[in-house]
Amino acid sequence: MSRLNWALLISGCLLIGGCAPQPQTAADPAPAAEPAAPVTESAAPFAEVASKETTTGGLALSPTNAQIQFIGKHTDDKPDRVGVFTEFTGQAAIDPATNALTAVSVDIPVSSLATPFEKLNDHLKSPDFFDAREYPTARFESTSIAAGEAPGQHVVNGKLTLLAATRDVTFPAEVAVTDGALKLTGHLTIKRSEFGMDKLLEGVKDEIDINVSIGEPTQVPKAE
Amino acid sequence: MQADAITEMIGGGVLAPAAIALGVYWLASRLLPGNAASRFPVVIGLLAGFVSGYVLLPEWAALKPARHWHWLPWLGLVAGFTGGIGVRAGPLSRWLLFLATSVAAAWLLVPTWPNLDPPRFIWLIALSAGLCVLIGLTDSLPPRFGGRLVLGLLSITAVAVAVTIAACVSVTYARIAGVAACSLGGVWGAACLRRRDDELAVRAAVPAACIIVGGIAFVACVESERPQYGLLLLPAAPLGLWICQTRTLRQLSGRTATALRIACVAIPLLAAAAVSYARIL
Repeated sequence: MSRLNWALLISGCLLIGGCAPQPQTAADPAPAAEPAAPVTESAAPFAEVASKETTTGGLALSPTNAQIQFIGKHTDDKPDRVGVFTEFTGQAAIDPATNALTAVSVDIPVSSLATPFEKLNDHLKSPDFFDAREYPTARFESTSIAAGEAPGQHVVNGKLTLLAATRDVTFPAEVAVTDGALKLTGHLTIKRSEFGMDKLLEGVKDEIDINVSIGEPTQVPKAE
Repeated sequence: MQADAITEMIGGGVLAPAAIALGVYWLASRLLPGNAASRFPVVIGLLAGFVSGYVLLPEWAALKPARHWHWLPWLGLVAGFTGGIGVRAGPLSRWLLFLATSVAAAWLLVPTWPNLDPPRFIWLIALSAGLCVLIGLTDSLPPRFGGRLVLGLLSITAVAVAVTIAACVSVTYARIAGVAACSLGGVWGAACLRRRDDELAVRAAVPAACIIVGGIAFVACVESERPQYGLLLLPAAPLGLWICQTRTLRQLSGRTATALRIACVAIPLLAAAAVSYARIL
């Protein structure tokens, strides 16, 4: 090789060396995106079971006493796919004076998602959907919880962080607090594309149903 | 699947890179001066097709690298450059070039995830060595089997990588592999149309083809928490041609020899795809 070729090669190597990858702190909080219009859906039936795990400042939420379920729907006749998260931590704050739920937050490692199908789990964690390697944590944090019109009915407002986006969401929930134990069921529908989960929309609908229940343990759905 | 989605995927991911690769190859082979025309048309066509196809992908395929696999087009360009200048170098210089290219590719492609398994430094060594051997052994194939056959088998291998990634890991990564496959297919088509066996030009493109196809296979392999090692076997399928170098098989000629050579690549390719899909490794 000529000297010119060697010089060009060495320059290229130095250029590559200067492009050393930065550690990917994927756990870093995602930058907040512009808030979207609130998402509002109807309430789900009330849960029967209650449980209580008291920690400082509120009730601790985990898969042993709560469930976060998501339902994806195909655009064709294929059946809906139901999944849950088997690992998450959160807190629910209750005002002892009024026995009212005042705040709720939950952090979800998205790699803990579980459906009845192992290959589907891997696909959902891939960049096609949750991109769990890049965005390992989803988060919900309430900003306000207001009493609804009917007894036990509440309207939960909060911020949902998924992938790189944080969006305002609103959903109705049935809430009951008795002796410090909390029961809650809520249902919301999000548009995944608003969070940047915008791939394969031709096969899987944009709308994802999310069912939240506090007071019953997480159960991984079984294949039908 | 909606018609517009199919149109977008085929137009952006298949037709465009193939047509650009074919057109640029044709132009380069006609416009470049003699010495360069014997070395660069395939690699220029391949990279023009791949980079333009990559740019035509949706915004998640960024040219400004924010994620490890965003380096693929840049690494392709570097590998194309080293392939172009190395093709007339001696064996030692060429292997050193392959090693430098492979180390650079591994350095940029191996993610820095804290939960990467096995750890990053092991992947750095393994990927560097793997890519270097893959490039080095593939580089020796065109003089023995002809440039067009090797180019065709590289194209088929890239198609198999794309299909297997789509079936096993992610359509996102599969589309990148698909762009690479179509670019390779474009230059292969152009080489067939010209009826010229550009052995030297194909050798110049081997590092770029191996880095791009091997790189995306690696990216898909480590995406899952449980790496899908079977995917790493796919880009090595063209090395099956070396079986045809055994004394008995080397004496074959004509269609029988061609069929045997294709089989020597196709069978390992199908086996690797099956291993990946069944998650045997």
